[in-house]
Amino acid sequence: MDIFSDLWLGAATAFHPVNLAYGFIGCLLGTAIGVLPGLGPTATIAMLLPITFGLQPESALIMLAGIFYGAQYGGSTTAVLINLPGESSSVVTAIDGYQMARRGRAGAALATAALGSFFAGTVATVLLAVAAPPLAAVALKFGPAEYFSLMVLGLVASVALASGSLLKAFAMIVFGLLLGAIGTDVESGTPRYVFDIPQLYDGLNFVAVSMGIFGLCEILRNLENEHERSVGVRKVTGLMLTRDDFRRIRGPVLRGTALGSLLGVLPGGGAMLSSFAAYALEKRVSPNRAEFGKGAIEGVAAPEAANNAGAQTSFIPMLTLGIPGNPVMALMVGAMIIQGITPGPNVISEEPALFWGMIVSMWSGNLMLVILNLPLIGLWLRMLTIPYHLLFPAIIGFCCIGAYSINNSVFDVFIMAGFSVVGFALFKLRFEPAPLLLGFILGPMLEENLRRAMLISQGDPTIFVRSPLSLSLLAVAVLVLGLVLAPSINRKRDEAFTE
Amino acid sequence: MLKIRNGRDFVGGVAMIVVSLLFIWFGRELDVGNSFQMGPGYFPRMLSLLLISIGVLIILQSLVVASEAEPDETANWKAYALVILAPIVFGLALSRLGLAPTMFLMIVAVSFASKYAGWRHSVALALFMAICSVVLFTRLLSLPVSAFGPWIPFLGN
Amino acid sequence: MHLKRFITLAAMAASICAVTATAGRGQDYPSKTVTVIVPFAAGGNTDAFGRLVAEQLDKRLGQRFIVENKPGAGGNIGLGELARAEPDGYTIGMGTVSSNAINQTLFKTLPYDKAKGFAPLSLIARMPNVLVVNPEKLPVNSVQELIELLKKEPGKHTYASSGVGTSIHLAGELLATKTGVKITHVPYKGSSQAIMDVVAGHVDFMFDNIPTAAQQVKAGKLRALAVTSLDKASLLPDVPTMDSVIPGFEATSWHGIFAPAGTPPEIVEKLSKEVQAILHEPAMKEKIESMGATPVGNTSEEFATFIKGETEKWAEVIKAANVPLQ
Repeated sequence: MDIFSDLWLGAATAFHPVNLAYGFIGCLLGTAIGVLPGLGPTATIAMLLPITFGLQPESALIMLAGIFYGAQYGGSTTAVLINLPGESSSVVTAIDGYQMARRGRAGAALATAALGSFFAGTVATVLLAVAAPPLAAVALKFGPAEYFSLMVLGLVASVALASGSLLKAFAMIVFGLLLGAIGTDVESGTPRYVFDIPQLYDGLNFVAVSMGIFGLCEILRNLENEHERSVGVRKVTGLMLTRDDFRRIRGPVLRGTALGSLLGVLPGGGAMLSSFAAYALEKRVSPNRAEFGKGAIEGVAAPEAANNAGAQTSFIPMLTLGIPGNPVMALMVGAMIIQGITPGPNVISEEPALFWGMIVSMWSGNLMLVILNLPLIGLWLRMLTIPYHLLFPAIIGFCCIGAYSINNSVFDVFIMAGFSVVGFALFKLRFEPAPLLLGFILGPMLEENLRRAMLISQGDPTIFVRSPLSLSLLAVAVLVLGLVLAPSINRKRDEAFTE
Repeated sequence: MLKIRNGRDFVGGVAMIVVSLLFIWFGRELDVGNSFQMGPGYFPRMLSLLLISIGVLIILQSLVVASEAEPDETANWKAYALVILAPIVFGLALSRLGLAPTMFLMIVAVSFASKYAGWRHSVALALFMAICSVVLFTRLLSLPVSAFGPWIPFLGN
Repeated sequence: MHLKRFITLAAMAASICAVTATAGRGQDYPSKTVTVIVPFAAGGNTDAFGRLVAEQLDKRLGQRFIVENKPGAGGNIGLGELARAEPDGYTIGMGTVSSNAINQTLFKTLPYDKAKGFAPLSLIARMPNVLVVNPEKLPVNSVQELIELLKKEPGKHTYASSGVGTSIHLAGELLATKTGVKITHVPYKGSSQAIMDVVAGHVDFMFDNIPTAAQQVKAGKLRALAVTSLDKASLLPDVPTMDSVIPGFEATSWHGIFAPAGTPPEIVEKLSKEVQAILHEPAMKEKIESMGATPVGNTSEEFATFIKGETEKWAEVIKAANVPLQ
């Protein structure tokens, strides 16, 4: 088979000592920067991009990929430890990961994330090696109508993220969708709700909003009831996973990997949808579904696996079609162009060493990340034993710099402060923030694709049901909505009768 | 007579209605269009109307279903004010004082949001953070912000 | 006698002082770090050109030239900062056809004084756009055939762009106004999503920056009908120009370097000369050409005239096409 000679070529590139070293440096830097609150993969890569300009193309891309995985893993670490998701896909990890940390199981949560990610990364890399071109063809099937239907399904499923009142979860999704409408309307170019502030023309920044609503808000909540010196995490037990844990995460990791690998191929939001689709799925099928939202290990394993699998397969459109699917990939393309390589459909045949080298380096990068991070878990846990009154000012300090670094502008720092107030008010009224953030992310995509589809079909709404793919996605959405509503309607009826 | 059985949800429902009305008011000049030719105002308008109806449902629910008992929470206004104002002060001072002094002052101030704060610890932590952030962000990552700003004599630029 | 000699001496001294003083401003420059504002995110074309030029300025002038990315609002935020910076030559910035010629008309308000503008240093590079069609959806082989088809089926065909008011969108509007065809504009957020949908056949055609589009053309996923520069492009040497079919059709995206208005003319002159010299170096030329662009490097005055022409041209297109102002 050709694939083995290709992989051998890739291995020769990826395991070349120089490239191995740059890959390791990338993982290390990515983890180190990504673990700082507010510095997710996009910000980290943007900051570290210039240092790769002087390298060979292979080394530069391998290093950037290392930074990407490292930063992504670092983002999950802050999500678990201090309830601060550094990017959209770790919003879901924060839900149960942080609860696990509060119950003293931060070590287990981090180990689950590391091992789950490694497993998912391995599977997705194999998939990338054997099936990249057909998967890319699937991505091309998704036009505006299909994306709209996918987003509808995503929104319906995101209700599952809430553990409390369904009605209030719906309210949060809609509120999030409204916040997403702020900024320049893509179709007409009309500015909406910008109040003549130029910084608002591109909309609110996700990282700034999320740091305010999750990170700063969590500090406000902790300081409100400061009974003990360390309020963040009470005690730290169980550094490693028990046999029972392994048994519990097996299924979720497998399902998460499958979902992530498939959705990650879709440019523009696929990888991001995958983590919470995986969470929503586990919440339905898990025997421990009552524990979700209170620190279920499945709630960490599934989204982390999905997230990492999606991160790998999101390279597929870029490597096979030359089209970047998300901001991180756009940065990688920028780096390639500066190196004199324009990515396109011919990159596999024209630059085989580069292509296969990157694929093998994805796997080696994931391996390095596990080797690097399992011993580091002890260090992160030690960080939690720092008295909270010393920890929280440092978190605020890093959040401020993190918000600044998004656009090198203090405007995002103000947005973060503003949303800490919003987040705290929502907490006081017992609204859950996760559905809000998902609505906020999905809103612009939902609206853009809806209106784009209508534009292309010249105002004919049947475009959404004419395409079999779009129709089946909508059908699943209706089904999921039914499943979500049924138990709560039953409960309401019971309550009404008992009164 | 209607009685509010869940005060929190009642306020929550009202808050959602207020938010929708704000979006409708500030978007009043956006062209709404129709379902076949949607204007920039269509999506926010429909969402606002949807949120109003959800808000009404939440209010109705709060009149029927009683809230569960929850432990009392005591407001800590000093902590709220310090934590929320800290980033704002940071943003205002950054370009004028530079990263090091801004970070130092902000950390000292915000650390007193905790009742366990002490001068010695706060100053030490603030110094540590100021040095750390300058080394990490201005030296290693070349973030476009100077360590000492124009308001600092001799050192600033 | 004494007095006369004294006066002569004094006059000589004074003139020497004056000469050294004016020359000094240019000669001492730069004596400290210079900031180069890039009003777009890291990793894009403007960022790449900015970094390439900054690196060379660094080497030639012996001071650090540091690139700062200040993205947002189509470049307006970064240019606003450039306009507010001290006009002493220690803050300069990049600008593009969008930020320095289109936004002037497209935006009702700008965060800087439109009339005052900037001191242009030099045009760095021009990048042609290429008109590409999906060969399965539009069975046309030339611009003439495309126009005929579009005239036969008015309002039935769609073209993608990287957003309202971008040079890619306005190239489509230019086509519509010059030929009178009726086509539907489908805007995207950025050109990568847009080209993906053209490759997939969800949208019929688009104008796109040449490097990415050329790769799709080479792989046979798209068909290139024409380039929008007056000369043929090195990456697609067989493709004719739009100008040869529709005379006067020119729509390139260009990247230049600017100083704030009011920067001393000696410094503007010095920087402009250095940038021109950099762009005439063979290694630099090759690098820029490999990115699908044409290196330029003209004088401050030539650049200023060029910008004026571009601003007027796009103002007319925006007006003729009824593009809503922001």
